[in-house]
Amino acid sequence: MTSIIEARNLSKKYGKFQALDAVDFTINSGQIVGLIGPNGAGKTTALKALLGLTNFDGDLKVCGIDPRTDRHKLMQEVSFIADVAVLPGWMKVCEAIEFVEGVHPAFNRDKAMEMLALTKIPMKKKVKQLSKGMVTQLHLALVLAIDAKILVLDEPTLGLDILYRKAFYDHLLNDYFSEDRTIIITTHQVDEIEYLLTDLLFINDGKIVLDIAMDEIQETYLEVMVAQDQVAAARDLKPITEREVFGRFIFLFENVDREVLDALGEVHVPKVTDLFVAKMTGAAA
Amino acid sequence: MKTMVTLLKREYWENRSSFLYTPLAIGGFYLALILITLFNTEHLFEVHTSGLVNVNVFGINVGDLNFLTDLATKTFSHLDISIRQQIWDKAFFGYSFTFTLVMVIISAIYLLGSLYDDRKDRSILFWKSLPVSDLTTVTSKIVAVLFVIPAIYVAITTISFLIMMIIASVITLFAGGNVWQSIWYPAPIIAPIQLYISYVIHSLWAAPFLAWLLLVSSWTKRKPILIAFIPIGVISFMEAYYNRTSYFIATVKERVVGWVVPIDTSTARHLGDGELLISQELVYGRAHTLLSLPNFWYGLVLAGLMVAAAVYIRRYKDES
Repeated sequence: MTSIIEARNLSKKYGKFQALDAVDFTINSGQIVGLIGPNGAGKTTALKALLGLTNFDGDLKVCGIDPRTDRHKLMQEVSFIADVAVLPGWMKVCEAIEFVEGVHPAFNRDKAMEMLALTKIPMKKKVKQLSKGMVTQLHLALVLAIDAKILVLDEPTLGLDILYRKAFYDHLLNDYFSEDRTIIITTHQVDEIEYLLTDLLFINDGKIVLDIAMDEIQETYLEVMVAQDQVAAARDLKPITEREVFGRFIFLFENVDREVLDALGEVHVPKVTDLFVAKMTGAAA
Repeated sequence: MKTMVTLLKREYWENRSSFLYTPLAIGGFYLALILITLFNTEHLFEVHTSGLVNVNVFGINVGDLNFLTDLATKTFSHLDISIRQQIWDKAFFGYSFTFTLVMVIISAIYLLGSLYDDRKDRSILFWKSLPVSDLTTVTSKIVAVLFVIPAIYVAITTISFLIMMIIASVITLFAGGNVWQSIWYPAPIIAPIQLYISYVIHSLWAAPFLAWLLLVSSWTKRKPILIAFIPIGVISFMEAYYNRTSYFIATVKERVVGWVVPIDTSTARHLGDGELLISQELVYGRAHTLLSLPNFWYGLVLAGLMVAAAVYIRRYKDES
């Protein structure tokens, strides 16, 4: 695996607010990274830095390119949906396709048309006449038809119904993704994309809180469902969080042997959401 | 090259109504006017009993359309060839004036919105997700104003004028005249090209003003029209108040008005009570005079600096 994004000491301040605080991370090609954090954590700032949409301090190389100086070159390799519904309202669907085809050498018109054929989007309509979901579908079709090394999706499925969301992620995984591609996704619906991620990047208060491969999660984090009488014993092992569900206690442990935990109760690998909550509240405490 | 063509198409798609439909409407209006004049003896607009129609734009008589009547009554063919040439030129350039005026207004509005509208509706994030440099984007807006808009306006001016000539030909035919002798020879074949060149040169003369509009568009958070004109007003006022002079506003006026009408006292011909006849001599001739002025070139340098600033702001302004 070769690294495709390298950030060293990446910092960004808005006035007195430290949006990114000396962040280091590396993303390799072939990864599908979930960039996850609460609102205002620095997610968007990090993405904007990667995409050359904002200035920053520190070192950042994306595909070997500094996004600060060569944004337009970088965009040959990277495609992104920075936000939902940013397609211009005055543009017709057919014009949007013609435009991207005209400026992007790696755009495949047939692929875009194939994806649009699965939707009900009329080619002659203007973007502002489409429903919110259709605008997103159109944007996704345009972006997925670009043969890019890195795909950045910021809340890509906001406003889409569950059927389309499912179809989209299946398409992303089965048809779009390959070894030499990298995908970075941010979303609030982590549950939905958990199965397709290879890596997790948690960010909070401008810092990376967790940088882990999905495979490694089970080696480091375990959740135990504990009955009332074992609670004290469980607390002695210093869980990072505990919560109560239907009268039973669920403890989340970091780097505690599985054999030890098996004695306490039912052990399983935590879901990303639970890990996220644990890490975020842990950081605040 | 393919990128630039696509970007220019984009500008056209976004501004179809001001780039295309507006001049079409003007051409349609004049054609309707001609038809009404020819077939109706009622006093419509400024139809005189003689059949002469004065076309007045903001009180400026920009040429009368009685040439059509002239043509129809066969008086034209008796005139000397050089006079006929002149009549043609005056008719064409006079006719073009409404188009010029409207073109300048829509160009100014276009520039003010060019780097502002997509920031307002956030579609800038879509444009910036594509491999187009900000320099290329800004260049496409300038090319649109300097070359594309004038080309469309000249084309529509010319085509609608040709239709009028055809109407005149039909009338002449019915009146039993010689169409070739009385109308088409010597038609102003190069006049559209001269008009186009004049448009480009006049826009370059106004370039500091145009670049200012572009700069405001690249940076303002709201109301670009207001933001563009307030500083001009304030500076003029300060100069008048503290210095008792008005060089600044005079310079701005020279550039802005010079973009629209060649009212340069040295070359303009005032006819009668302030009526100005727009002619080939005035429009095309003045464009050439402008090129010889050092100020023309200084203005371009200033405009270049403002464009560079607009590109820089477009590149680095953080839209969040």
